[in-house]
Amino acid sequence: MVIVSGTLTRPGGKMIDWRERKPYWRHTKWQMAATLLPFIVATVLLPLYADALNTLRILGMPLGFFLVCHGLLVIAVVVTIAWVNRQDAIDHWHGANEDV
Amino acid sequence: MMRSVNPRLGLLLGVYGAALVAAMVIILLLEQIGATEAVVKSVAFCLPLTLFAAVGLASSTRDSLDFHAAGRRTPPFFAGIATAVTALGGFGIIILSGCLFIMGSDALPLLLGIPAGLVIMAVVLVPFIRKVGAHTIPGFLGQRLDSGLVRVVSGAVLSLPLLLILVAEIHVAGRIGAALTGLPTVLGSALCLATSVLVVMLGGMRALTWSSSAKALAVFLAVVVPATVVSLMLANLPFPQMTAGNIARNVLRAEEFRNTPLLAVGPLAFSVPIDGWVTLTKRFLQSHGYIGTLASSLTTLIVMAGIAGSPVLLARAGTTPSVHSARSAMSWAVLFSAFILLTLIAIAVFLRGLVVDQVVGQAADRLPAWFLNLQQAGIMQIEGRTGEVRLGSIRVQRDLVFPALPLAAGLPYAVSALMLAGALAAALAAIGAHIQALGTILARDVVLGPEREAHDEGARVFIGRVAMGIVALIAFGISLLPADPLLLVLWGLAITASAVFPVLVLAVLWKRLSAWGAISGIVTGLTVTAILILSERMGVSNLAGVLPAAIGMPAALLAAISVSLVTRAVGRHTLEFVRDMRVPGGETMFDREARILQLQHPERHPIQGPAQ
Repeated sequence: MVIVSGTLTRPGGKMIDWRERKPYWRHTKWQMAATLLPFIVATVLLPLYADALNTLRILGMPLGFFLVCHGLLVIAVVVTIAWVNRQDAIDHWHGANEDV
Repeated sequence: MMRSVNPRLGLLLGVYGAALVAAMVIILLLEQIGATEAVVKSVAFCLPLTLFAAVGLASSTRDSLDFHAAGRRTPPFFAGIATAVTALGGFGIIILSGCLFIMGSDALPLLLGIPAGLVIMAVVLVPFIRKVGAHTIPGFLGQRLDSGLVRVVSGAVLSLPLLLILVAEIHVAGRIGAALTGLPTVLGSALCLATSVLVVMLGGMRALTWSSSAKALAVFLAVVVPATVVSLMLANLPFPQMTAGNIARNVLRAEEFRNTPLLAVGPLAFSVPIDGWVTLTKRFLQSHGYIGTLASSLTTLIVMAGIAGSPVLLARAGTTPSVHSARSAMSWAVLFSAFILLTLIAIAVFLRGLVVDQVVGQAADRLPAWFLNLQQAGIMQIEGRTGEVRLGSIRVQRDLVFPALPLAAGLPYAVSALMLAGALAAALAAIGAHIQALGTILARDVVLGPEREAHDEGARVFIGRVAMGIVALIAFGISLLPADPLLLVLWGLAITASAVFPVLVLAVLWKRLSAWGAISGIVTGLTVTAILILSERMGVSNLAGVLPAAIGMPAALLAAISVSLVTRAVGRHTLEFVRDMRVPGGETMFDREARILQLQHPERHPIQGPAQ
């Protein structure tokens, strides 16, 4: 265990500066909320309007069906990939990235 | 303690992929050279089973970290697809596609809950559970709340939903085995269970991870290849996920044209197709004919929470090398499961399209040849022998819809056998994962729990193996009782959503959660949900399926928060633990504690392994 100016180096790799832990968690928390709230709202609300939207048509398929099946599944994939990317940026910003 | 990824992984993957494709081609060829249907189907049952067992046995291990966490070196892609195939399981492939065909858009809440749950799990739980790196979820809770009691109590409570889902998967595997080989269901499930338990007993998490990724590739081929071929035949485009939409619109218009009656149910109604013959009553794209408006939103949320809190899936976070790769593994899992589910929707739509187009409206004595084949195979039948066939006179076996599409589209029956083999792979992955999780919980949290980790490595692996064997025997005994696997999975999800998920989320997000708060949350969630499920079975309440969790989940949350507020504030050790858990980097916390214990008790670890 080597202590270098507030940074704890451990066998598993370098650690975040301890003063950065609080801002890091605040940043992460907001990222969590911004990722999940719109996603959950869309997942719960969209299926309720599927019947009404099915009278319209997109790419030859009923709009409600398209939005609920393709729309929500694509949203899930995009949301996760975007979150991995943003959380990675947060890690780098606060020096919490792992050099693995 | 960094261990490097196997440098020959690409080569091994190539060899396995080639073997898998060769097995599929052999099965297709067997039919063409004139082997009987029984022979083709038995080969389709045995060949993949042998292949997966070989992958599993090749990665058997005696090393404790390999046995419990796959050495923490699984690349994100493989960890992700293994997680996704475990989340789907035989339930997701066989039963969900049956539900989709029968219930149409009403099955979507059940289906969408799976990838949505993986998203919630990825964002809220996985990075922190990976940082802690405990081998089981009760172990995580015990370490987070610094309490052996939490560990034992949550271990006992968590075992219940795991056991329910395990038994359901054994039922599914038995049915697939019976459909493929004609053997009795018990024999099929015993064979599948024996292979899975052998693999996980010898290789633990390591064998499980590698054989599950192998199975995920088999599932991918078995679902996507037939759907693509059928899409090409029906719509001249090799993208089933897109062409299904067009066919869904044809179904919508045909059902409107024939004035198929609309079903109306109350907002809290919840019903699913029963096990066995089900009559087609609902228009395909009409929403809320089986599940009411409020109930469908609640179902999505509960399935989401049930998947997100699943101890089996969460324990896999520990197999990746770092927090960052645990996150990207989850994005692979979401991508894989979303793709498979979209293709399953396409399979259900294609079959429904064929039925609505070529069977409904025909004279009952002039049905297409493929429908007669399905009738003979015991998959579909019609009531009444004369007159015009209506949608409401067609009856179907829920669990046999999935392999029916190639038969309906006029493809060789070997394709249908291959689809069943893929579904069997998914069921085997789920069986293996649940046995591993239950066995590890029994060994690490119940038997070794109070003494922490102070046993030598060989003993830990040995106790784990014995526990897995015991768990498999118990599950096999329970699976001899008749039950509907769909209901078992729904109850398992409801109990996970109410007993485990709220406490896990609080453990990550709320520093002040105390040990007694966690215990009361877990126990309240289980009790409320179990009572509501039992009272629904006795006809007292009408909250069916997963809906009991709609009360159990808030009750657990409330109990955990209020008891935490009245108990003493948590200690400095726990606060420091939470702060450490929330940031990535540094040593995995579970491994660090084990290392410190090892330094404190050198006499308990007579054999020191070489430094890695």
